Order: sequence, then C-alpha cells, then structure tokens
Amino acid sequence: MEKEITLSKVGIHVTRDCLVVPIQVELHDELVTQIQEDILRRVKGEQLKGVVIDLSGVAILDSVLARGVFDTAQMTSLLGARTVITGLSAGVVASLIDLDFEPGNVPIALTLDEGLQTLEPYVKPKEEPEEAEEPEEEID
Amino acid sequence: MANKKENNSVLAPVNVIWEGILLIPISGTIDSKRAQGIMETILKKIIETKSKSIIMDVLGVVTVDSAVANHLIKITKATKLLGARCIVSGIVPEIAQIIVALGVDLGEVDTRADIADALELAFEVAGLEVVKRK
Amino acid sequence: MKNKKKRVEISEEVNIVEAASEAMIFAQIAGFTRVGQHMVATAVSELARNIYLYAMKGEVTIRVLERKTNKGIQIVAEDNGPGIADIGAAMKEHFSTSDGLGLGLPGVKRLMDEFRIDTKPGVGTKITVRKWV
Repeated sequence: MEKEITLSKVGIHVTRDCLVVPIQVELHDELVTQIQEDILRRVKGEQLKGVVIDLSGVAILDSVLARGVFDTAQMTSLLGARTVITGLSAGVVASLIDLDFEPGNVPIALTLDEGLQTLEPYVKPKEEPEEAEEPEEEID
Repeated sequence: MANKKENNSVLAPVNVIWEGILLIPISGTIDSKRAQGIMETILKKIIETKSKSIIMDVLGVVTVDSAVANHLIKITKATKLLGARCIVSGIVPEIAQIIVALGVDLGEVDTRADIADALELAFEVAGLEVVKRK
Repeated sequence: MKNKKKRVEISEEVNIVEAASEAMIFAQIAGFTRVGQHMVATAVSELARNIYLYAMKGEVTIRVLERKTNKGIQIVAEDNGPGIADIGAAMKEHFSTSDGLGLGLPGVKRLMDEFRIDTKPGVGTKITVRKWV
C-alpha cells in the first residue's frame, strides 16, 4: 500500500527504456528510502539499464537527502544500470558545496532530456540479437 | 552596498564565447563574499545557457594565496555538480610556484597558462575542431 | 515586519523539512536571492536534523533581522539534549551529517555569516546563526 503511494506521489515511469523518476515533492528521509526501494525493485524487475532522477521539483535538498539520492545512483550501478541525476538548481549546488558534499562518480545533467540523451548509449539494445527482436517503439 | 554589487558584475562578467562555453575573466581581489557572488553568477549562467565548459581566467587577480585558491577550487567543484567542467586559465609561473609551495592540491582542476589554451581544451571537450577554409 | 518570527517545534522527522521550508520563506521575505534562500533553508535543515537525531526534541526560531543598511535572517536552534562534549571535534572538517559521522556544523558555519554555539553536556545546546543579504 505504501509503495503505491510513493509511486503515485513521484510519478515513476518508463520512457525510452529508462526509468524516469521526476521528484516533485519535498523530500524527507523516509520518502528517499521508499523511492530508493522502488527504483531498485523496478530496475531489477524490468531489467532496466538506465535511470534518470530529476530533482527540478525539489525546493530544499540538504546533505543527508542528497546523499540518499546519490547513493541510490551507486546502488543501481551495482544492479547493472546507470543513473543520471538531473535538475539541480544553483541554490542546491551552492549549498551542497558549502556542506562539502562529495558527488562521487555519479553522472549529472542539467535537464531530464539531457539525462535521457546521455543514457542512450547504455540502454540501446545490443547490435546482434540472438533471436529476431521487435523494433524499439517510442514510448511517450 | 549597491556599488559593491555593481563592481562584482563589472569585474567578473560572464561571456558566452561559444555555444556551451563560458568565459569569466576575474580581476582584483577575491574575498569570500565576492567568491560567493561569482559562484552564484556562474551557476545561474550555466543553467541558463546549458554550458559545459567554464573558463575562469585569473590573470588579473592580484594575490593568489591559499584562501583564494580554495575559493577557486570551490567554484570548480560547484560547476561539476551541474555537469560542467571548469578550466582555470591565467596561471603564470609565479602563481604556479606559490600554489605548489602552499601545498594546495588542485587535484582534478584543469589549469592552463592562458585563455587560448583553455579554449582549445574546451573545444576538445565539446568535440569541436577548428578547420581552415579551402 | 521588523519583529516577524516563527518558532517550529522539532520532535518528528517531518518537522525538519517544515522548519527548512519556513526558513526559506523568511529568507525570501528578507530579500535573499534564490541561492541565498536555499543556503538558509539547508542550514536550518541540518540544524533541525541534529536536534531530531540527538536531542529528539527542541525548537528552531526564525527571525528576520533589520539593520540600517541591510536585512538578514537569524536562526536559533535549541534543545535540552545531551550537549556537545567536544566542540573542537564537532567543528573539525571531516565530520559531516551526510556520512553519519557528525553534526555538519562546519558546513552550517560556511553557509551562514555568523555562527555561535552554546552547549553544556547534560544540559543542552543552543546554536545561533545569522546571514545577511
């Protein structure tokens, strides 16, 4: 039941073979954990190779919440998926810098679209299919 | 107070010298308030122009001590959080000596002696090539 | 306007973001840029989080400050928690909230212009910070 609430709050969906997580609500620790679990569950369940976490709808991001989001990116890479974080505002960046936040190697893009673009090479299906594969359809 | 703000923007104007490449010539002294203002301006401009390379030219900066060096490092880290890359140019031999002698670790920060070199690197990063017309 | 202040009780996790949101609004009223507003909100978030994690209960008071030439904001975060035994260690660089090792106080100090801490082990802690537009 709680999981459904998270999904509807955050509107996680799949676009162009990537899990798109547009966060439009204020984050707090418990929500970050729920989102993290949802992402990992879907990445594993649907064998997704790319994730975009868009933070443009988040007004306040402190070091602990940021750590939760960036850690999620590290976790998805352990599952073989690549996560890009997008939508950081100038205010969020300036604050995280003063807090000595270390982003690690997590890729960052400015917008959701840019994030999807950078993931393209990673989510494209292999060139030599073992069996005949249907052509990829644009999911909007 | 208003003058101070005007001075900040006059002394550190942000130029879009190529698509996706910003140039910020900084001169004078850099204290923490000014560094803060410069960082804010750069971050906003990166978001506005979707720039990927930021050339910060410090040739005109009067003193580069460890405090100033740390301000610059902070700005480069901030640009990284926006997926952009900062190149510090205008490092003259004397400044290079001071920075190393002070034990400041510039680590991942790209530095170049002048703007032309920094621009070359920015083009490289952008996958651009300058070709002579036939 | 001059004496506009708000007190937020910190006893549940959601109070952290409540306090931060209030601070952001006050920072906007005081005239901070968006970036400045966020820095204030983040500092409050860190301070409120400390209260919640270590003292379990306390309060954050937010107030707009007015000087002749300038406006600013003041945040007082206080609790009757365990207090900080070694301020020196707490203010050392490598203790941050995000890696779970500390209180993130050096970061809060950097985000703000003025920082003052009064603490007594077994009695409580009061942190006062100010930032000017």
